[in-house]
Amino acid sequence: MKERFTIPRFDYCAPGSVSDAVRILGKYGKTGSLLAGGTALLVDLKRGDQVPPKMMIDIGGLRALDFVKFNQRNGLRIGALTRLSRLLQSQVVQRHYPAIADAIRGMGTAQVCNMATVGGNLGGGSPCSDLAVPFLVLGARLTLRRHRKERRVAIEDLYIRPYKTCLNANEMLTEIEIPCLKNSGMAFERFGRTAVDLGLAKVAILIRLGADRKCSLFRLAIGTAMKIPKRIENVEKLLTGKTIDATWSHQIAKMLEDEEYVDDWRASSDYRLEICKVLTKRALEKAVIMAEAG
Amino acid sequence: MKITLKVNGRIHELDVNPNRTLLEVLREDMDLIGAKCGCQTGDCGACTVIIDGTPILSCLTLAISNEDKEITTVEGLTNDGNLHVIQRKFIDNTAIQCGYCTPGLVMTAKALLDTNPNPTDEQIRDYIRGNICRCTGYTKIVDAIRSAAEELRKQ
Repeated sequence: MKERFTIPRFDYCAPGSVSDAVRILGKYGKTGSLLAGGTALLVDLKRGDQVPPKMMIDIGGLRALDFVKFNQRNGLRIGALTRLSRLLQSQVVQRHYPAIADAIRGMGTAQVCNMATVGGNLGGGSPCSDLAVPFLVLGARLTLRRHRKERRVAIEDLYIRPYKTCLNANEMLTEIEIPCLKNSGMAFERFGRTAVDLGLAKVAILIRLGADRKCSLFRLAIGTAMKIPKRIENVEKLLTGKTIDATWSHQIAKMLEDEEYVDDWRASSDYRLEICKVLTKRALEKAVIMAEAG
Repeated sequence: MKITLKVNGRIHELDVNPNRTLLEVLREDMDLIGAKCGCQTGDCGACTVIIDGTPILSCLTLAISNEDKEITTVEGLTNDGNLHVIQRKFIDNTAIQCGYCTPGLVMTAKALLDTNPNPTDEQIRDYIRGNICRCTGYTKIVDAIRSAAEELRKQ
């Protein structure tokens, strides 16, 4: 096999519990690395894009963090080591959180979805995370554990810059909580060149409409097209409390011009802006239909 | 490190470094060269094996992470030298050109038909989206999987 694809050597452990995992992570800090699904980390190590860890802490087998739970009061709870394919199979996700299901449907291959974890998709800090986009509009909260302590952060606070998150070197993402959102509509849209690429832009919308079509809640998030996945607060502020009408997608499109878009070999920033306008229009139509259906 | 892998129903005691992928260990230490080394980055699917019932990329998982799991490679599909229905249908439908993608595709097809015995063509195409055939013989591959599904349903 080609030498450049050989993974560098490291020490290895596979802790049997979350508390063991965070204790070991605390001991190694930056020289330790958590291995979950491996679909991003092992590729980076093969390509030499990441400094090899001294200690590889294999958490992929920790069943305690492989769960999808739902109740009306607390909403959805997802263990960080839940595989993408398992999250997609969840009837609750398909029925109550279609934007999450649609995001996973666009992610990678069947094999990758069987390996990649929800926590890895977020915790790696990739600006191209598909899941981050619906999670942003759904108001996801993340549990970050370290030795004997834990804290909770809103997903907006996770992303600092590309591949840099608010996770400290001794912290591990263990759980994602998403509130129960009654009487609202949501949608996710993505655009890429192939069925399995990282995509050029992703958009998610959450909307709640009153009987008079007055919008009591409006959230818009964009991912991949910008440096980090984020909510577009100017648009949200403008539209929340207003009565929805046919001019909305035009108004949003105008406001999207004020944002800054990634300009690289995959696509120019002008092109990404145009894609975001189209995706937002599509997502709005879908979300409104769902909101009106109740 | 000493590890134990269960591959195709047999227990293997091995001494491997933790940085080695399952694909490397299957091919280099166990002489199971059915799973192929393609892109090495999870894009091509040539290294697909079935672990605990699900298709997995053996180039992106460490051998050491797979102790206590049931690993099936394409070699494990044959029974006393008799090809599995899926393998036979690939031959009958000329779904093999250079053959490099074939073991991965056969394993992905096996995982699909184990969970969905009667897939539509669209479902077949969607499920094998992670297995690239650079001879581009996809039509024949879908034909092979469809006819394997038909025969397996009769059994």
